[in-house]
Amino acid sequence: MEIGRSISLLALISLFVAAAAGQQSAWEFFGSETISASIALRGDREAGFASITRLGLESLPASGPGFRAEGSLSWSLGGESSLARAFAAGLASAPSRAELPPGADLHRTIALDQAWARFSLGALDAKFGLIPLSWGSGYAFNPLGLATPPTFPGMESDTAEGRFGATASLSLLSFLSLEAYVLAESRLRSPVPSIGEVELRAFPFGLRAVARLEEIDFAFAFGRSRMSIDADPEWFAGADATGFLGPVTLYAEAAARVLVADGDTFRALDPARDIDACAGLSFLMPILETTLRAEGAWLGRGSEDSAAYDRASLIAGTRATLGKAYALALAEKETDDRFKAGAGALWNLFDASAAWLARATWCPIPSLELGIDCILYAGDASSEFGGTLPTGPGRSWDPFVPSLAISAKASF
Amino acid sequence: MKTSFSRIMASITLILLRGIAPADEPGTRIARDVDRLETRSSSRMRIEMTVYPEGGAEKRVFVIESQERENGDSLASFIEPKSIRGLRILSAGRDSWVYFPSTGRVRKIAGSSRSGSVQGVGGDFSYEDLGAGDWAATYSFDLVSEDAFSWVILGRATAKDATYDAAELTVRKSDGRPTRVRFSSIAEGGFFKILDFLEYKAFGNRTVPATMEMRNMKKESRTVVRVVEAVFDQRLEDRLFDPTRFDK
Repeated sequence: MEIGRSISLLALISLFVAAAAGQQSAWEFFGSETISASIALRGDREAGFASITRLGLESLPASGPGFRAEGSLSWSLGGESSLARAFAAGLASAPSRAELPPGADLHRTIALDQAWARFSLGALDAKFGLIPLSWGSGYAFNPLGLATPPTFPGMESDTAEGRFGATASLSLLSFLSLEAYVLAESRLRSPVPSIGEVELRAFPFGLRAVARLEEIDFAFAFGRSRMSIDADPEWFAGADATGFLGPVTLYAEAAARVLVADGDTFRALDPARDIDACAGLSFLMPILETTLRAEGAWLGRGSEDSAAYDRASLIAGTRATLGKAYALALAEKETDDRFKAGAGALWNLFDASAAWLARATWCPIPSLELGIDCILYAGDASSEFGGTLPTGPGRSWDPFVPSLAISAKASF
Repeated sequence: MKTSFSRIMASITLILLRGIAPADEPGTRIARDVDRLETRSSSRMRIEMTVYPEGGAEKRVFVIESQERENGDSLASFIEPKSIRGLRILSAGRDSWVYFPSTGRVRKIAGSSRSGSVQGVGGDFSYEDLGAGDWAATYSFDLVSEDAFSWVILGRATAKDATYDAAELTVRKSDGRPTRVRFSSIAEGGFFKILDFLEYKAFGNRTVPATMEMRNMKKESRTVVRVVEAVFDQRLEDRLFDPTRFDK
């Protein structure tokens, strides 16, 4: 099965390359190779290794139809493998070689992240296929990111994971547009197809009006989201804005779950429970040329009580954080395009646990980036970042492992 | 006869009134002439930017495709290096937006950030430098000095949030083209950047600065921009310059 998928992806890419070679239009082939090695900063010092090979092909002329595809082949070993960590923690038993389909290798993940075609017709721009959707203005949190899986704040992938569907944008004025998307799949993918997975009563969609004005950008959104095919669809309304106050960039983003079913009827909106919101600012200090960022977030579904944390939701992927209120502070320094460094912390405001992050990158030559990352967690045994999920006598799964990693990324 | 007399009197009155009305200061006039020579038409350019970092570190080359409209709105798309390939920067009026192709995100850039290097890859050029407006509209100029070959005019920023507090232009008398610009910022302690126009070149029927060098005296770095290809008076689609569509 895995071999089949690999061959299919390679065949698809080969076809695109052949098509590219046979055309005069500007087809471009691009990609990157990233490797990283890490070590856990705790007692057992487990080490890990990961590799991500990204390949892409696109033809996006200034006018006329366009196409873009981007896929990846990832390998993870040891502590970098979430499966290995789950097996070690007793969350699941590791299958024997005989139990796996021929050619399968659980170290390996193949993904086609984006593959979409684009066309414009007058004031209408449309894309269909495996499309990326990036709504919202938050830096670390993204309450309006309701089409894709939840991600840990600040850990957004370099490439947005697309969803099957279509999106269209209608330009009404030079600063105002209406955008819509409709999707055939939920935020979390099911690897097993089922007849009921595309339901007319539940398919995800979104509508938004976007205005990009001189001093402020803002958008109002409305739509329906579905976490997984087993989950009920949820209706949401939201807004986001970015503006400036002197040299300070201010932004805010919020999404409210509206029309929440309560048996056969709908219950009233409970702001504390049904609203996810974030607001923040960034400021470039002129002399030090260092960007300071601060962001606060309220996540209605989160818990104020650490005893009520649903750590299993982190495994299921339905949540990336457990708490209800967070604060983030970051300082980032960039020296031309060669050196970048940043450090900061994310605090869970109710249980006072924290994640401390530091990252530095150096580009000795163009398109080669060497990096070092460190992430530490602080908090008591019941807190979000300090706690674990017991999996059996003397065993537990730790979702937040402090680590030190080095990486190299070459783009081509 | 009476009619002719009236016309003559009217003409004299008009000439006198013109004489009384405030004329451009010499500095402003020179800046306006520079702007006139640089009159924008729509253009499509391929630009090569070479950054020579401070401390003698290895140079870096960036290739940018730039499209610009008559009103100064511009769209820059990065081709090289591959690590930022596809990144687009739209500058419309005093606003700018950045589009990241792999995530599909569009971010608005603060006016204050316009003084910063372009995503860290603009070398010594800031967003403001790449999308600079008319000199006479941005600065109020005075003639500082002149010799047989050139004028030196000093402009003070008219907008509060201008990237630079002042710009000093050296303008060649023979053709009215600027040969050097010095940029000053109080925050940076005075004049700290020098832009030299090293070569003017004709692309079709238009002569434009084809090679420019920006030096940052504080950082001791320099960046050379070379126009590789340029075509003018192109019809460019509106959607490329529409902040709600340039990312589509």
